[in-house]
Amino acid sequence: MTKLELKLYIAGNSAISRTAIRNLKQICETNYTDGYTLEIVDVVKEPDLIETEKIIATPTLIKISPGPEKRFIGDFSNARKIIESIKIS
Amino acid sequence: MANQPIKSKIVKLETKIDGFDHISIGGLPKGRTTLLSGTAGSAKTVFAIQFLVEGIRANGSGGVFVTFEESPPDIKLNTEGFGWEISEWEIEGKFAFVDASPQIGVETIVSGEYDFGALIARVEHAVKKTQATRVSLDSLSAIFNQFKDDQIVRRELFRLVGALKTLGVTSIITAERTQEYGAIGRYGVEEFVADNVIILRNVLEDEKRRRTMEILKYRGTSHQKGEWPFTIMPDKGIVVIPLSAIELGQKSSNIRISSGVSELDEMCGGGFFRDSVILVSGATGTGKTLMSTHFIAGGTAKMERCLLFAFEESREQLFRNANGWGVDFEKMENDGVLKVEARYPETANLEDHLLNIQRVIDEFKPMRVAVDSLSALERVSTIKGFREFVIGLTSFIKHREITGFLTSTTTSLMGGTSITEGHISTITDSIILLRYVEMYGEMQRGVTILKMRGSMHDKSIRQFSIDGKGMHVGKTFRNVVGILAGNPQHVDNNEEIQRMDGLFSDDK
Repeated sequence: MTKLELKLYIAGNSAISRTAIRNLKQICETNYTDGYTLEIVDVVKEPDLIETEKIIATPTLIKISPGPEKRFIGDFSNARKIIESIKIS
Repeated sequence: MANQPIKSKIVKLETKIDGFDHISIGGLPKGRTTLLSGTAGSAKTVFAIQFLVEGIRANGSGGVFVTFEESPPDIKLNTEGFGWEISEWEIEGKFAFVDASPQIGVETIVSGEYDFGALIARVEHAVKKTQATRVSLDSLSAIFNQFKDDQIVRRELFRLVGALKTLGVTSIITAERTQEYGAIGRYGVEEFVADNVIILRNVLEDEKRRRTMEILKYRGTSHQKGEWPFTIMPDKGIVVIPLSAIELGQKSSNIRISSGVSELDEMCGGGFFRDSVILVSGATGTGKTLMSTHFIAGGTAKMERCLLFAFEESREQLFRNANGWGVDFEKMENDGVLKVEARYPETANLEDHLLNIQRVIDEFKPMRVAVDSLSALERVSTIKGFREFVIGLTSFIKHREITGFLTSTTTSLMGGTSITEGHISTITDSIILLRYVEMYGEMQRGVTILKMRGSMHDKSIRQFSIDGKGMHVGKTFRNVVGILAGNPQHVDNNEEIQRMDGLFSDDK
């Protein structure tokens, strides 16, 4: 089984950012007990990084591994939607 | 209340887009956002990029292009023809793309609350990196398509525009509209995003496309009203044709020049005025091309540079015709006193023809310009477009203080007027009519000076003939009436003729 590798882009310490991080961590802790990595990037601090990834909206989550790459935009309030589309076999 | 401080005025930023700064009275409102709305193919993207390009060219001020639609490589490819070296400016750090175009092949799921924090951060970063003063965003409609939640998009666009204001940049946002005349944008919010609205149109009228630009709203500052024709030049981009630049302030000269036909000079009271525009009107075959040939020969004989724009005949035909009247165009061209530009009217639209004529005049710097014929150009334009063309052309000629000689073909053989005359007769200084006159089973030609501003002239209708040396003006048609009306009738009442002779004599 491939390990889940996630990258989350947020814009500063806003309410949406905090909600998104909290929701996402909760989803991961309860569903991916085999382990996962989550890198959080603040676009305000590292604008060069997002230029290459072409991020527009925040929060944006990129599922890097397992492939194919998928993107999620929003605050992850709908956990089921995320879990369904991440689906690790 | 009396001594309230005057609030700071809105300053304008000169775009350096040809003609635009004139119709906008100084450019785009500085530090503000202007909405550029238009249908598909109305040149919004060209305007948006050119705005940045002209800034870099004029004073090296940086530009940021935010694209929601086309990818940067596509944009560069599509604008290569204009000679804009975007890739080089990117390396020099004067131009930056913020690529927000849709990512093809990456599945994106949108759910819940989000904002455009990343986009705003990227724009701010690009502006700081390039020290940009100009930003273009293309287009609003594309971002509404990418993100389905209109309410969030709307809120975030306001934030983005707010961020641009804070940065102090002058910006353009393009928006797509579905109709040439109607709502400004598709989403009903576009006009509230920006303080200023410009509309680009590409109207289909009588099967012809006509591009116009209108400044609909400039909050707190002035601009010219109405639609202005513009065109897209292959090596230049957008060129607005500001007809209001035309002022009736031309100097007028008393210097007379020869028409190339001595009898005609006499009829005009000594020749045409140096800086006048002469219109010659007549049916096909009455001798308009001949008269323009004489007009040119009259100039080159005095080593004046002459320019002939031909829209009816090819160079070969013109040269052969001229030879038939004893005028050697080829030698004149070799001597550098003549330049013949023959084009089919259909090769370009009228705006392009006008700009081309102006360019050639400025390059060749002639003393005399002949256009044969003006009415051939009616074919490629709408009536309104043609009127603007004629005004633009005549005023340009007058401003250069050269002599303009324009011909116009009437539709009816015996008389009548053409559309051309209707638009032009009041702005030309002289009008010469050429007419067919039926005389006892024979077609003869008649010439008369209908109008000659600022000078006495012969009021009679004179018979003329054409031979191997050109035009020869003869006697007056004394016993024919109704020539100008296209209904010549013979009169044999000599008493009446004698009485009339005395009535309008200039000598008295």
